[in-house]
Amino acid sequence: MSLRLRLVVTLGVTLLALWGITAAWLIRDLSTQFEQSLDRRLAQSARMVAGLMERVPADAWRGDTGEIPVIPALEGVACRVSSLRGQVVAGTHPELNDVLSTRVAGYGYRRHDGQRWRVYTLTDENRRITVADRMRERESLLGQVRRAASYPFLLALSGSLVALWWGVTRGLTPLARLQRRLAQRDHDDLSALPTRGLPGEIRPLIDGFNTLLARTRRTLEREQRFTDDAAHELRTPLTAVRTHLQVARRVDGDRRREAMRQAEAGVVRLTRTLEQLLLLARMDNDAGHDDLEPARLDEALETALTETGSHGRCRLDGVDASLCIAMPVTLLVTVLRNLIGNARHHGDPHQPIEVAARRRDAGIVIEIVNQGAIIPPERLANLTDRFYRGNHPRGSGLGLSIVKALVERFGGALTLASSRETPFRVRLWLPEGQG
Amino acid sequence: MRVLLVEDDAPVAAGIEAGLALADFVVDTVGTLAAAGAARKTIDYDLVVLDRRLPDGEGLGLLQAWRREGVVTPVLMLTARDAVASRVEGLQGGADDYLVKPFDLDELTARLQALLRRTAGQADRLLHHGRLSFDPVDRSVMLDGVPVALIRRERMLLEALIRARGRLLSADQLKDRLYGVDDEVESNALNVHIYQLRRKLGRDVIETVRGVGYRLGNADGAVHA
Repeated sequence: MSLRLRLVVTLGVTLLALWGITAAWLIRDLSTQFEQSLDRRLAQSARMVAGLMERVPADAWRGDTGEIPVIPALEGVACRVSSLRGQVVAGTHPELNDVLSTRVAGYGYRRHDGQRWRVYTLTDENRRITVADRMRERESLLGQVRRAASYPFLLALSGSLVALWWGVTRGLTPLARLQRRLAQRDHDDLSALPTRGLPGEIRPLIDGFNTLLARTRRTLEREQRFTDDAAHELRTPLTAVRTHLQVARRVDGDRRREAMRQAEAGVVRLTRTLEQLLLLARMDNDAGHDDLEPARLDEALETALTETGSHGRCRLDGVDASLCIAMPVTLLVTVLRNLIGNARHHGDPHQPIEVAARRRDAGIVIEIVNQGAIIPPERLANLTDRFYRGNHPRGSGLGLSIVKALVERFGGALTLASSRETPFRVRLWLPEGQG
Repeated sequence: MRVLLVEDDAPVAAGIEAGLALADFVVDTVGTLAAAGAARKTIDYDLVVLDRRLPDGEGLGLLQAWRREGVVTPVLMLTARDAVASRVEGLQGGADDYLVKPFDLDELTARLQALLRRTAGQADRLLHHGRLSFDPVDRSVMLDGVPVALIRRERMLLEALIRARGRLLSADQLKDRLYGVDDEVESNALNVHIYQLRRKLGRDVIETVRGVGYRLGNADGAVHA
C-alpha cells in the first residue's frame, strides 16, 4: 500500500467520521428544537383563539341558533372551538372530527384519512379549543431545514477531502521526485544523490544511502586498482619471459644463453608474485586459526635470518626463549622474513639491522630498524598498499601489505616510522602466546 | 629505423630491445617519462613504443602532451590492462596502436612495420625504387627480381633512404637510423656502408649532395655489380 494511499485513506475516513457525527448530532438537535418550537406555536395559536373567544357574546354558546360558524379552511391547519359539553361553536374543517373532537387537554397525535396531525387542546372553564397541524407540512418543513443545515457540511467535507488529497500529494512531492530520480539512474551509477530540497525526515535516510554508496564506490575502486595492479604484476614478468624466449629461439651462443637466463629470472619473479598473491588471498578468505600453537620468537627469527642470509647483518636485542607469540610459526617467519628482507634491500648495506623485542601490554613489541634514506610521510603512508613499489622496481610491492595483513589477522598492529635517528623503523605489536 | 622504447621494467625492456634489433630496428630504451621527453627532443624517432605505467606517471599523459605539441611520430602503446575502456582511452589519447602484455614479438614488429607503412601512406608491403625492391618484413632486397645479399647495417641504410623517398638525408640523420646511443660508431663507418651499397646495387643508387647529405639516385641506371 503506497504511503499516499495510506495517508489519504486514514485521514479521509477520520474526517468523514468526524464531520458525519458532528452533522448528525447537530441535525438531531435542530429537529428536536424545531419540533418544540412548532409545538409552542401551536399552543400559542390555541391561546390566541381563546383570547378571541372571550370577546364573543355569551349567547353564542347557548347553541340555539343551530348554525355553526365555519371559518374558511386553511390547508394543513385546523382549529375548533367547542363547549365543554362537546358542542362545536366555531372551527375549520367540520369533517375532521377524528382529529378535533378530543377531550384530552395538551399535546397529542391524531390520525384522519391516513394523515397524521399534531393536536393541541386548551380547556378553560367555558370552552375547549383544539388546534391541529398536519404532520406532512411539518415534516416537509423539517426536511427543508435539515437539508439547508446539511449543505454547508457536505461542502466542508468535500472541500476537506480535496484539500487532504492535495496536501498529501504536495507533501509527498520530494519523495516522488526522489523516486523518479532513482528510477532514472543507471545501474552502475554510484554517484551521491542530491540532498538539497529534501525534507528533514528523509534526509538522514538519503545521507545514509549516500554514505553507503561512497563506501561501495571506494571498495570498487580499490578492487579495480588491485585487479589492475595484479594484472600489471603478473603480465609484466610474463612479457619478459615470452619476449626473451622468442628472442632465444632466433639467436644462438651467448645471446641465447642470456635470453634464457632473463626468461628464467622472469619465471622466478612471476612465481614469487603468484605465491604472495595466493598468500594474501588465503588470508582474506581464511576463517581462522583457532587451534594455533604459539610460536617461539627466537626460533622464528632464527629461521627468518637463515632464509634471508642475514645472520651477519642483524643485531639482536632482548630476544630470548621466553617470548612466545600467538601466531603459527610459519606465518611469523613469513612476517619476519619479509621485514628483514626489506631492511636488507632498502637499507644502508654497511650498517647493521637492529631487531629488538620486549613485552608490553599483554603482547610483544618487535622493532626492526635499518639505516638509510629518510622516507617522507606521504610515501610512508603508501608503503603498506598492495603493489606499492616506491622507487624499487625489483620488488613485487606486496611484502609490506602481506606483513600488515598477517599481523592484523592475528590481532596485532603494524606501525612504520622514519626519522633522523631511525631512518626506517617497523614496530610490530603481537599478542603474547602461552608457550 | 629508430625506435624509442619507454619501458621501466628492465627485463621486459631488454627482451623487446633484443627482439626489435633482430628486425633491424635501432632501439633506445628509457625508463621514465622525463627521459622519454628528453630523448624525443634530441633524436628524430621513426616510432615510439610507450608503456602506460611508468614510475613518474602515466604514459598516456606524455602522449597527449606530445600530440598537443603537434608531434606526429607514430606511437604504439603497451599496457597490462586489457579492458576495452582502457584501450579506447589509449587510442583516443593519441596512440596509433595498442598492444596488451604479454604479446608476441612477431606481432609487435609487424604492427610497428604497419605503422611505418601507414605513416608513409604506402599500401603495398614492398618498398620500390626503380628496379630495386625492399621487403621491410623479411628484410630482403631485390634488384630486377634477383635477391641481393646485404649485411644488417647496409639493409638499414637502404631502408632509411628508400623510406625518405628521394628526400635529402644528412649524414647525422642516417647515422641516427643505423646506430643506437650506446653503439660505438667509427668515424668512417657510414662511408663504408655507402660504398658497399654502391658496389652491390650500382654506382648511382646513392647520390651524394656535397656538404648537405645523401639521397637515392636514379635507380634505373643502377648496374648489377
